[in-house]
Amino acid sequence: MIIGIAKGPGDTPNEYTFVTPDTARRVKTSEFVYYEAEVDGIQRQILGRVIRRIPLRLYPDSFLAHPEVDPAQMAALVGYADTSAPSGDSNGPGIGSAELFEIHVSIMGYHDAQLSAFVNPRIPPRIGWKIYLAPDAALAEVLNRVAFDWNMGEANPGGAFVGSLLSRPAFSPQADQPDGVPVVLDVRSITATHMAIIAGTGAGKSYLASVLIEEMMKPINRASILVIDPHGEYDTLEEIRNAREFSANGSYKAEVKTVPQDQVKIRVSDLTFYDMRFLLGAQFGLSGPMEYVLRLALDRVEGERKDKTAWTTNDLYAALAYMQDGEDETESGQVRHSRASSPPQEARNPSSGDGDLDWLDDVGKDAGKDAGSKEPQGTRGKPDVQMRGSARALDWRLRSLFAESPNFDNIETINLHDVFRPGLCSVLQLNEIDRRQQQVIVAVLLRMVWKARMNAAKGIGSPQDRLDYPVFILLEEAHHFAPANEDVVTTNILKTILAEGRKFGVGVGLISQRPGKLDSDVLSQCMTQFLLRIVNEYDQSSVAAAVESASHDLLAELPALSKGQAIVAGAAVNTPLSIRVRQRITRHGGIEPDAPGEWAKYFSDEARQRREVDDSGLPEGPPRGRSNLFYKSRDRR
Amino acid sequence: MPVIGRIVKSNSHTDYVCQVFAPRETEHDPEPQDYAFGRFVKAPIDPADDRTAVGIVYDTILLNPEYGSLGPRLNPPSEQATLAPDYLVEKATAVGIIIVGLQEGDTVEHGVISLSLPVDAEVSSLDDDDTRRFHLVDERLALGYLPSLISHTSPLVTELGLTVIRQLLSLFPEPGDQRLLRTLAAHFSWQARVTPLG
Ligand SMILES: Nc1ncnc2c1ncn2[C@@H]1O[C@H](COP(=O)(O)OP(=O)(O)O)[C@@H](O)[C@H]1O
Ligand SMILES: [Mg+2]
Repeated sequence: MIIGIAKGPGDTPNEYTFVTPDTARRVKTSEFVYYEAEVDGIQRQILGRVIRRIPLRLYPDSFLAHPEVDPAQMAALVGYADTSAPSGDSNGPGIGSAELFEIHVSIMGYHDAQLSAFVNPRIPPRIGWKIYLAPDAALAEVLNRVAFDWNMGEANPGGAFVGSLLSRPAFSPQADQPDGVPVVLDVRSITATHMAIIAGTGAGKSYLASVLIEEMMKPINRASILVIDPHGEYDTLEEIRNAREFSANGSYKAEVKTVPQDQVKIRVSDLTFYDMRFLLGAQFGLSGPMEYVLRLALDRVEGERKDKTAWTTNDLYAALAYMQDGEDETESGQVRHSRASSPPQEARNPSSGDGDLDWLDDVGKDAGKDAGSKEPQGTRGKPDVQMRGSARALDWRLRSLFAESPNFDNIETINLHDVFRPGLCSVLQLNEIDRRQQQVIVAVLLRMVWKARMNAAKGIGSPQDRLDYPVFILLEEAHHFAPANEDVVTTNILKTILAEGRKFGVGVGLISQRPGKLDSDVLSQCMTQFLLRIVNEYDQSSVAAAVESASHDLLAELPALSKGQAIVAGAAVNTPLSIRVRQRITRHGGIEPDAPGEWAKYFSDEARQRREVDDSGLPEGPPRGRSNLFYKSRDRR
Repeated sequence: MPVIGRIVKSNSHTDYVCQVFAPRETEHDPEPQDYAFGRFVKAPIDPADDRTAVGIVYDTILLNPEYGSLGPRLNPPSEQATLAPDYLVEKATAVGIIIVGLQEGDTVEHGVISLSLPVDAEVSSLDDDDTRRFHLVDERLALGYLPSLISHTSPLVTELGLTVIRQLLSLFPEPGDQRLLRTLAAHFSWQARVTPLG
């Protein structure tokens, strides 16, 4: 369909302009148009994206002065007749659309099927060349890296049909004659080189993530996915079990498993010194001596377990008790000591000597946080007053931590094989878990996955310690796990996975509403980006810095996007696209709390009656009304 | 339809000068409002058919050969009419007319027309019905001549536009037409009254 006529070069060598009356209003920004040119003897369609639309004809302001007067009527009144417009347009005979637009187009090039990429031949259109609107089907073919199967109404294997092109009608595979351009992402790229979903709150991040999960759980992909769900909004994915889209005639049926927060278990012996320090530092931070004592105690319990069986909190408490006992070594202390198969060098030597007191003086002077690093050599590990105090404090903190948290357990731990399996999507609910504990849980889990995948790649370890297939992990609130300008327990392992995950088949999807608070290295390692509405300018600029493939004009649209509209850029698409996210198959969880609704409920008849009963202090069921009094008094007597 | 005068010369293809008939020169002497500023007038292009050019009076010129000739006089001015009656007619009123369209039977064409008026073509003013008819193109109110009218160099064009629209406001009482005309009037009013002071 011819849409306009080329006018000339645009603002940069890569742009051109064309003129169109655009009576049918088809030429929107982000729309795709092409012209034809011969490249090396082959006629090519050179595709470009509309980046700007400038009206060439403007009515005098005074034509717009009366709200009920159409400026086109005014133009007709003074004799303007658009004879070029198709007849039967808008207002009646003689009154056509007077508008004319200059459209700026950024040239992408022709699609080279072999390269699976766009090649810019650097042949700008001559003045007068015809500009065409790219047809739906042809566009779907060149924009998508994985084809859409029009007969089946879904993506080909390895693809994720997440929505349709924003500039075209919403695509619905169910329609008889579907209009619009389905957008299919390359799941291979998403899992190999990670992705990020970035947008303000309520823009539709979780919705889009769920659409992606749905696509990955379909028989065309059969993925192994873990969702880290700090808000408990992904449980509706369980509907996948019963929807026919997720099974294939007996050979496949997608499974979804929700792990509620009280069943998320991490074995304490899997915690490293850094994990512990991070956990314990929640409220007041750890003093130097406390860190030191913790390290000693951990060295001791880990040293005791050369065979790598798990130590327990009791072992840890015992180690601390040993340190509290100090000089006046008791029988039990002696016993504990001797039980240690190989106590660390520093932890041994409970003898007392003059040197201790020197150290004590030093610590006393430094009194505080950096004392741990200041301690003189050769005196480390000697139980003394200071250390005894630290050990006692640590003991108390550890006990209260492990007592209140159901997530750290002596025996139980998440079994990777329970949560990771092709065709299984596990949702780890971390709501109501303290932030630091969430971070530690995720850190331990990521380390376990990473180790298991490395083992598999290297062919080492027992089957139990291996994960024999690639996995994909979706992380909500990613800025908590890799914050900018701060190191948390998850930062390192996340960076490792992002940098090398491709080698070992661990893909990560980060979701965040605060890209400005997300570590910029981490964000830039996500090679596919989904951007939804972002209003905050600081967040916009952090996104712009991380997303190199999306051009300026595309990012300028971010604040104008509506709910469910997204820009997809990066490895999973051939060119950045503005899309309308498709409808979920499963229901959307994470409904916003409805305070006015709750308040209104308070005044419902039912609630009122219930309150009356409660207030009267009577059990439910007694006769109402006058007899109540009697009932009550009788009861009292 | 009062006849007001005849074309005596032109300044351009659309800009003509019509000399107004002196008293007793025609059956009915033209009244001043018949050739007032902004009045719609018409003149036959060819007496043989019914094609008429329609124009608007945009200017008035008084012709007075006596003005400036202060030479010796044989008679006192009061007796001149008796002693030299032909001398009177040399004082005359002329009006400038700008042609804005063509009317042929029921069809109307606005804007610059291709035909021109001959010298001596008789000019008459349009009555209300004619004026209304001239402004109906395809049964819609139209002022298709306005842009070319505005491009005329006379200093009075915006006032002329206003005057024209004011006439039409009384001829087209339908609310839709009134809205359009008022919007247009506001435009000209601003241009005529406020813009010059800016
Ligand atoms: N593509 C979409 N189609 C329909 N509704 C959507 C879409 N995306 C988001 N929504 C709605 O918008 C609301 C917020 O979406 P959500 O994904 O929970 O936001 P976020 O995770 O970004 O805070 C939800 O109620 C959801 O139903
Ligand atoms: Mg969300």
